[in-house]
Amino acid sequence: MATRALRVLRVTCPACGELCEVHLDEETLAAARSSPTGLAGVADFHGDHILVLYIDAEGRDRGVRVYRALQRWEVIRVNPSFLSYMSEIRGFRVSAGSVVECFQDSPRALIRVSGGDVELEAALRSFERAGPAVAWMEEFLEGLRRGARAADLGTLLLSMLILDSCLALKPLWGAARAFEAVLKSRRLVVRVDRSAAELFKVYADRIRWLYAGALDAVLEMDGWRLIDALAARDAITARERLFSVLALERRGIVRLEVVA
Amino acid sequence: MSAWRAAYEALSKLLNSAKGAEWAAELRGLAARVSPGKGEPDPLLLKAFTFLAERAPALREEERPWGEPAFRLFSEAFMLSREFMSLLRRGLTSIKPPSYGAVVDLHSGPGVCLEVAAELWSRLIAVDPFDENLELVEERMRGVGVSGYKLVKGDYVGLARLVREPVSVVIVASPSNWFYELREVAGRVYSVLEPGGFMLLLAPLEWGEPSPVTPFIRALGGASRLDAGYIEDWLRMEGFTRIKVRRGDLLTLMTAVKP
Repeated sequence: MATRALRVLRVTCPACGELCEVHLDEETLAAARSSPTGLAGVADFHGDHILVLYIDAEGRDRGVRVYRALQRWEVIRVNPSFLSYMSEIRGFRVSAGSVVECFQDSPRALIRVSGGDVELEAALRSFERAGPAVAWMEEFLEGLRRGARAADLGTLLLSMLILDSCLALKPLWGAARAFEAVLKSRRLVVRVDRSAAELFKVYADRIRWLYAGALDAVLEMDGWRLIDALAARDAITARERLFSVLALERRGIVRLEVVA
Repeated sequence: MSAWRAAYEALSKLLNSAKGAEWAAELRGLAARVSPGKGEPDPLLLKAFTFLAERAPALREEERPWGEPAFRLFSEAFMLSREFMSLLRRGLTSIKPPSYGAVVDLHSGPGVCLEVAAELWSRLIAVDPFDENLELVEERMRGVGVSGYKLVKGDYVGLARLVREPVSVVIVASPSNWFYELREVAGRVYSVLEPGGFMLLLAPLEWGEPSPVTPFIRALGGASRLDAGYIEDWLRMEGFTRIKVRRGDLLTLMTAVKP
């Protein structure tokens, strides 16, 4: 787990050109020292791709790579700046073949849920709502069990953001399906059934509580990859888009087609 | 606006969809005996039944068509129609159970009945065998700001095991129920109701002539008997009393009390 930053490296992502700051701490340097290659990777989340900066035991920049897929048995330490997008979670570790972790400092306590070969640990800003948080984390874990093989670092981090945005809510029936969809979102394409949408339009004004404008927004997404449909400025908007897509999927207005 | 007329007008689409299928002859025979009804068709129900007619051949291929997304969409449209909502409201406001026990929506489908029941009761339970239906019930409950609900996965067979608390009202109304044997459902409902509790049944029951809904149910492989007199007799045989019947245009509302 990371502690206080010893050094900050500034790198430009070769994929999107974003200038990012990577905070190095003693534990990252220790990971590089103990690694057979003498290097440790620090990941920075860039939406549809991940920038990994490799550093040596002295904290020197030894190159960058852009990843889309998560390699099995890889250990990725995500830049703690990612936590600034979260409101409830202040650090996490996800183990599902590979290990992805993100900590700003050493947490006093972690909630751990595990089952099968997947595990999620999270440090929360407040443990007052630990009960619902555990319920959400268990749903996340079930989604991870079903969707881990199709997941990559980008979809995994997106699903963590959505999990974080859910923790303040009452747990939802079947939320695992939502997390599974996010984890697989790069391989799912939104297909709209026009005839079903026409029927829905006739009575949509009788269920005004369904996210306003959801149908029109999702109809525009016909043929989009789900990950693109979920792209939003913040996690709450991404969550609402996800729930809108799934609300229409339950009614057969949208189908999530698996593509290679 | 006529609900009957809407279902009747969509029958021609159903027969078109069934063309060439083995089961088309039975449908033609049934449809020929359905009277056309009077008035202008309810536009929502006309659209809903037309949609169901188009999807019927594909739905029929499924083991449980009433669990498919297309049927869920049809059910929600059907249940939000004027005919369904007005009879449901009338039924729910007319009953006076002896306590404030739970209201169970059996085979809840999209949960429209619980949304209406939530205006009158605070302890609500949806029982349905499909996760997607329960997700939809939850979406609906949260949408209207109701928090006192429970979701239970299962069907009428396990009702007594699934619902342990006192039950004042059981609603049997969503179109999913068209595919269950109502006689058997009534028996299980009787066993979970507290004395003085009500069963509320809302369905396209038949009164001496086929309902225009019956060919749709047959097209999807449903076979339960929806004869109003037969259902009323069964309710009495199960032990229900004070049976009240209200006929709408297409639907019939029956309320019955466990003594």
